[in-house]
Amino acid sequence: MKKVASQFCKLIVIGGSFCSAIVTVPALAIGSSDERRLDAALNLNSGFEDLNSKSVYPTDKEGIHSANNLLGVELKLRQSSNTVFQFTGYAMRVTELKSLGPNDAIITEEKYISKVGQAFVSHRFMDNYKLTIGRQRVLWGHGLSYVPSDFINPPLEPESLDLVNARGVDAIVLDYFLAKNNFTFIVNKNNNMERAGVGGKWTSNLIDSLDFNLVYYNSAETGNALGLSFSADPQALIGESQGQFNVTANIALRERSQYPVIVYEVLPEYLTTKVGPLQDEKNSPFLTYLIGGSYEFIESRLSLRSEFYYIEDAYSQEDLQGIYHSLLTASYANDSPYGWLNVLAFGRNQQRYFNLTLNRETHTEGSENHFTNTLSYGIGLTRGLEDHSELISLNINSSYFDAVELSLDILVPQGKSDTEFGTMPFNWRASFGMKYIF
Amino acid sequence: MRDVSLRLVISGLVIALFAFPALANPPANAIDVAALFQDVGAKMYPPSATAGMKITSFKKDVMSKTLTVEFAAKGDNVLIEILTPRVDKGKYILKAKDDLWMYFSRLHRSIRIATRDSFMGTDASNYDLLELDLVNDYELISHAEDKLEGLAVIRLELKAKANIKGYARIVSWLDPAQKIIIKNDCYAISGSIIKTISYSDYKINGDFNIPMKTRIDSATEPGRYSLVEFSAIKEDKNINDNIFSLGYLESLH
Repeated sequence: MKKVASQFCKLIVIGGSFCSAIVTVPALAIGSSDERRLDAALNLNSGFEDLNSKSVYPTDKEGIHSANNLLGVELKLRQSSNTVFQFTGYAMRVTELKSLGPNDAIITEEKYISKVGQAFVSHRFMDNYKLTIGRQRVLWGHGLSYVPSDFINPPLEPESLDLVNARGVDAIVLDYFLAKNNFTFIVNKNNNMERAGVGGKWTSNLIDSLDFNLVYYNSAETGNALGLSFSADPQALIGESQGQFNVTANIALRERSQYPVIVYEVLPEYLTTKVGPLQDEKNSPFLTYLIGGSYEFIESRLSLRSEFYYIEDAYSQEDLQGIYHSLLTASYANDSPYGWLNVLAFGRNQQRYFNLTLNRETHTEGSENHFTNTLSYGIGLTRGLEDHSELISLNINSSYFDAVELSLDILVPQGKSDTEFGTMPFNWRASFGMKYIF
Repeated sequence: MRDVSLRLVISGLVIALFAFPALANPPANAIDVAALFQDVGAKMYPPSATAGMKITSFKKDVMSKTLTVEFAAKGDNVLIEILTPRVDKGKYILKAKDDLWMYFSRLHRSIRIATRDSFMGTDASNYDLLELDLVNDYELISHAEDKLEGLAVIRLELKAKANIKGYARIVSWLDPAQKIIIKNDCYAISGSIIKTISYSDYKINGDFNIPMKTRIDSATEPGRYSLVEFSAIKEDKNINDNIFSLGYLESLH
């Protein structure tokens, strides 16, 4: 469970500052050279956290412990101007918590796991086509803190919340490019057959200052799913603009829900809940949407981003209180708490969320930076509008010697013990990352 | 769509949109400067080309950042791939007419960026490198003979047209003998000078006379400047228009 929290944290940090861990290598943007080229990167992440002994997640310790140890590698071979092989993988130390019985103490077990995030080959041909085969990241639609039209990587899958280290999907993707419009088709054979499916995306920047994409996907998990998202510069649409203002919207409908129905059960001492079947299709389509805006202050080079998102079939304040109260008080002899923990992905449980980030980027502010030439920093806040719990993030990122990037991510959840962020397994977490690009 | 092409890329650089086609050292008052001004765009840079470029920034005359990129430009569109520093590998910038995006390939995310933003942390702005178009965006107000370090030049006074997001005013010095631009002083609405863009190492490339080096000096902080150098320019009339689309940008690895 700690890993789940860790992944969400990465997402928050990424959304806030757009700095990341493992790097990729340039591929064939322009294709003016045809030489063979191999690029590689190593990434090391390690940190500490102050465990939250009151969390609904089983923790056997109190105090400060090391956490989030990860070693990642990325390789990219540019075979020619048209063909690229890419591999991304990582090894991570995880702590598994086990209990042999309802009255037995929780024991921990340290173990190392390794995962292949991406392993694919892509080939461009006939000027307008690109074919990509293998495990790859596919993320369709606009949004930083949440992507409603991401039907391919279901948001309830904890592993997919980390945009950098997330495992891709095993798929065949065909892109067709035109001057202002692009069409993408996917056949996704994920390991989880419920998510296997087929779909397509139309991306267009035909209208100046407005780009949008229309997504269709069908899988056993989503049923028929449709998403429309756009990004626009409203000032440019109505007149003069310097490009500092941007709005985003993403609206999605899916035939099937991923959220279990809450079944209330009255026991002698408390009201508890159980995991029921997925919400009924007769209530479909299920609506999710995100609206957001960003503004860059020209003089200070500070960027302010804000997003609000809504998930119709997620849980209301009352539902959440029932869930967390049950998790806090119920005996672990009851299977339901473990069932809930498997579906409660941070940032995806409640019906309404608000995200706000303030950051400053070296890529945009130039040498007017007040500290160094390479320092980026950002502060983020994600607030669940149902239970009013919050997650505060701070990210500092700096690069040195051309090939080294250092990062510090701090996460501080806030909220009562029966709220989403208040029940995260740590009181604070600080992660240090170092990336070396060869 | 304005045909700005490669010149877009080096902007201020691209400013150099002043080439002097067929003037044999005439006096300034005998030149149809307005016609010359319009002709420059077609002669300064190839309308469709690929190129390599190096940008080096200095603070207090000490090098602070070096950036190398490769780009393709066609008409009003530019696609840029960041090659170094290595920490910036995997980042791309697309200008498609008036839209500007930066794409982070490892995150599979693109964001819109502002024209006034710095270009990847250098002293050149995105506007300087990707948007500045003296011929189409600025109006020639006046011109006069002048001397620049002892050299006889023509001093052009340019004013931004309505709804142009660049500099309020630009003063440009042209060498009619060499048929090149020497430098541009760029002013804000307040009337204060913001930066000076100087061109050197002109090189004949087919029908074009291209400044291979451009220096962008901050007027507000002495000793702070950026050098922009072309490593190669290759005219390529067959660049596919589809590489300047958002979908193509987001397909890059």
